[in-house]
Amino acid sequence: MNTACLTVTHFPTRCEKQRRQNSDLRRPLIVCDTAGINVVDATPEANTRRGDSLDVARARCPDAVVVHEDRDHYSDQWKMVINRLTHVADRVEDARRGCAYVALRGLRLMYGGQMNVLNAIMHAAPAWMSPRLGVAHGKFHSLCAAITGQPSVPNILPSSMDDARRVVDDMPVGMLPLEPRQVLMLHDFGIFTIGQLSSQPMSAIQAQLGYVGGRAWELANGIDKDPLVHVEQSSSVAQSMQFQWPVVSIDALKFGIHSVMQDAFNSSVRGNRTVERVDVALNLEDYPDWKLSRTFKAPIGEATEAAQRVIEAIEAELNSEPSPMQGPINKITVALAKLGPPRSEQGALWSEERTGDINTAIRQITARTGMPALSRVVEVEPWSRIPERRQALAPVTVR
Amino acid sequence: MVKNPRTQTGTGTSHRPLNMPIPVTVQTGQEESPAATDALRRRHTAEERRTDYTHRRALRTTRPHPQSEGPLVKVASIIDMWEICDEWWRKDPIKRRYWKVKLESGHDLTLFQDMENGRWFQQDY
Repeated sequence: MNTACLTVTHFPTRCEKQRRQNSDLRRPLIVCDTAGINVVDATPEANTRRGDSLDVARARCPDAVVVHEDRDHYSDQWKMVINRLTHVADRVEDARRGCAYVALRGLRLMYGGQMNVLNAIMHAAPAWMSPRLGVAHGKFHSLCAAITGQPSVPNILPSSMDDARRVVDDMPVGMLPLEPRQVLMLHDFGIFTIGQLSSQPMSAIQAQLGYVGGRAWELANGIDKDPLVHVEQSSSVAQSMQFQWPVVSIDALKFGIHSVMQDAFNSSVRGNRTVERVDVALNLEDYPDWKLSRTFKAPIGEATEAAQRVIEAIEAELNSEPSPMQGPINKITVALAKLGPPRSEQGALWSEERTGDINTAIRQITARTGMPALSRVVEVEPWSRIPERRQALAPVTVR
Repeated sequence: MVKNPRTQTGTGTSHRPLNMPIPVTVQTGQEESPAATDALRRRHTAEERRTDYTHRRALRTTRPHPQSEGPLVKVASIIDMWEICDEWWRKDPIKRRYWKVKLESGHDLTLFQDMENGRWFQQDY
């Protein structure tokens, strides 16, 4: 038993249900694509499935609540799970949204038993996702175990290969990594289950389906040569700022970018490392988030320079038609990505003792009060006709 | 079709606006102009000063004004009056009538009346 598979079925609907905890929980839920044409996912009560036309789905279940998919949100939620898994195990594969593999070798001793390992993996996903966990030799069998198991209860396949094969023999051939037309072709040959496929000679399957067929036959016979590909985790720093009121002016946006960028660069996680990419997300009132990424030709170590580059990119986007900023901005989130080694710089001839003293004092006050205790006056919209919008107090943060 | 809730996932840092409107009691005279006010005597507690309410929350609050403790100071003269109307495209438009007044005590003050709900505030312009 060397591989665990953590899978979350109906991932989009679970995410949407979690967001709507207070409403619409009892009605069937359909998640459609952004164009509102096809069904992306649905709860079982909706009596429809992925790929169906939305019109047909609505006709089948008029009571259903229909929502547009929000891929960014789903990805964020899944990234959170993957991130937690990487803190549980050293080798984690992010197969796709809602499915991850974990290499178990070496973890039992560390966690004091297999069940402790499995519990740690299971708890990487929040309970509302109802994760399923399967354990077997190889990725495919662990996936089969996960799907056939109960939510939140690890399903461990028998250790002997023959017993494990027996478990998956009754599963449909659609479980194998085949294209839909290849599955239909197998159906035409009268092959509906994995067991029926495994009893065929490999050459016959390969002759019909080529390399993919050969691989499917191997999987059906318990031969899984797919290595576990560890997910690349790059550290990043994210900071956000919530405006007191939704802002519409470019001046307020510039202020926000500068302010939150400064906070992000002062983060202890960044340390002295340089930044190669900045991701900015603007949370708009009544509209989807506006996201923008800026990759720098040379790594940047200064917040001011990074903010200026981002503002230039935003201004360029704003000049395009149609404008991507469709509504007032509620919140700015800046994420520093691709952190690299510090840029070597010539040190000052004389040490800046006074600045150092002030920074130490600010750190002490902040640590004592648990919140940014010092603020500085900054111009937000100095030209505004509404007096309280002209200046603001921004917290002073130091590294 | 249900609108995406755009749920906030974190608070993050925030800035505090300066020069927030301070609720005051105003007696009006002819043509709804301020005739007397307690703005000078109003002493806001430190807690109230720290409250990071937005202008919208402040203007819409149903909390009654603190009761005046004593007579109001009369307005000696009106120095200026102007109106601002902004963000009319949003569901909470900003519509205010500002009055710059000289009190009998000799102090100059800027007051405004929120035209949406009729409440009075003091705010330097």
